[in-house]
Amino acid sequence: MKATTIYEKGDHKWVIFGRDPDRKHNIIDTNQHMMMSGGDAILMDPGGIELFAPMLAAVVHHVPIERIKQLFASHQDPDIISSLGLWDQVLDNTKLYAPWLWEGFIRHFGCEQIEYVGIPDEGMEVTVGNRRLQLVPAHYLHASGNYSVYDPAAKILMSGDIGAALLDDGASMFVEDFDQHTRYMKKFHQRWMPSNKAKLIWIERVRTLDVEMMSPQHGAIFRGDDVIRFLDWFEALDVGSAVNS
Amino acid sequence: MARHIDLEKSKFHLLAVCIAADLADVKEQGEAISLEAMNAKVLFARAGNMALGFRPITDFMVQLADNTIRLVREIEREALAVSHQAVERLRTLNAVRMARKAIELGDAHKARFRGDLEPFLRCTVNHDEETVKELLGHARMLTKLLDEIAEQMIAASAISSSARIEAAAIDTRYSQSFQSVSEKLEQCSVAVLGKVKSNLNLLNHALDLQRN
Repeated sequence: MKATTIYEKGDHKWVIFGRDPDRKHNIIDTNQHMMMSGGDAILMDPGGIELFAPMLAAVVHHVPIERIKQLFASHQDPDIISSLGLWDQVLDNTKLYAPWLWEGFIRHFGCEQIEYVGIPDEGMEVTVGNRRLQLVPAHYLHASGNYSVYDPAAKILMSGDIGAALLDDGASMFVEDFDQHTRYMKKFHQRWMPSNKAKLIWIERVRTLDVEMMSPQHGAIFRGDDVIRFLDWFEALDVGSAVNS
Repeated sequence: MARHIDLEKSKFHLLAVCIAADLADVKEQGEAISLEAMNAKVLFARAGNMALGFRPITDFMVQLADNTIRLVREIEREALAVSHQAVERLRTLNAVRMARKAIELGDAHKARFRGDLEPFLRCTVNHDEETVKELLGHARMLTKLLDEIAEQMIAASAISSSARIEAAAIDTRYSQSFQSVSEKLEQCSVAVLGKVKSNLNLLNHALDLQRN
């Protein structure tokens, strides 16, 4: 499992785990995010059950297990959080922040020790070490209860499936050529994102944030002006329209 | 070889579910014995002094029916517990496998906090051992109950032979009815015994694999 540090300032750090070379080829590649502050850590969209062992092995390079105090699940999909039952056996005194809407569903993955904190529809803030993270509503993008994570100090937006791209193995962790990159994103967004209205609400909300990096759960990270380019591109894209195309 | 045993272990939960489902038929046979016992009681009441030799047989059938229904309920409960524990074992085995894999992965030995993985492995192994203990406890209880019901059915089979002899000696007006009750008791006991024996064999085989 490849670990890429995308932000580091003092004890405040963002690491992305992904591009696992040992991943089975019929399993979609995913980016797992970890933010650390004050020695504590939050794992965001920690991944599927198949990735648990390499994820655990990668995480202990950066943080002691007992300092993982929080987990976050943007929505209920198996590639996001089906490893929960295994994390449940590793972690003590840990909270899972996940959509209130999906609690009864996500608990099917196993959640006995970990405390489930349902995120309300309007979102909420979470403190990790010395930093505050904003859990930003992203409903219907693509799940009916869905959130992005914004770190105002690092100016990073973890956007979940928004901005996702289906790339070849070994692709760069960062978007190098935005126009080229859109062809890896277009069908994904047209098929997985069901609502233009929900899309515009999220774009309007994100435009008010100061974002220097937007990091999706699949594909590559947008930096600098590519973030604005993505928002413009997404705004113009007709979603919920790719059935049978 | 180890891989083969793991595969068999992982299939144990399926076996446990199948045993629980298969034993549901024993319940039906128990209910049939209960019905025949009631039938025998009615017949005995009608025949009165002409069927005195049938009285202890009728009493035994009532007692047998009660015991069978009770045992079947307990068997159902234990079979379900075995099934649940077997599924839990699948989860714990998976956690052990994942913990071992995390420790053995590529550059895991260089990880700064690698020491955190060993307690996790110990914890998963302990949890797995506890699960096996509980699983074997329920399985032993299930075996005991199956043995008990098998003994009951062997006794029922013997009694049905005596019942046939008694029925032959009774007034011809009732003889055929008593014969019929005796035959049905024999049929039920044979059916239950067959079911119990095959499931006992399966369970013992599966338990041997779990112990290895």
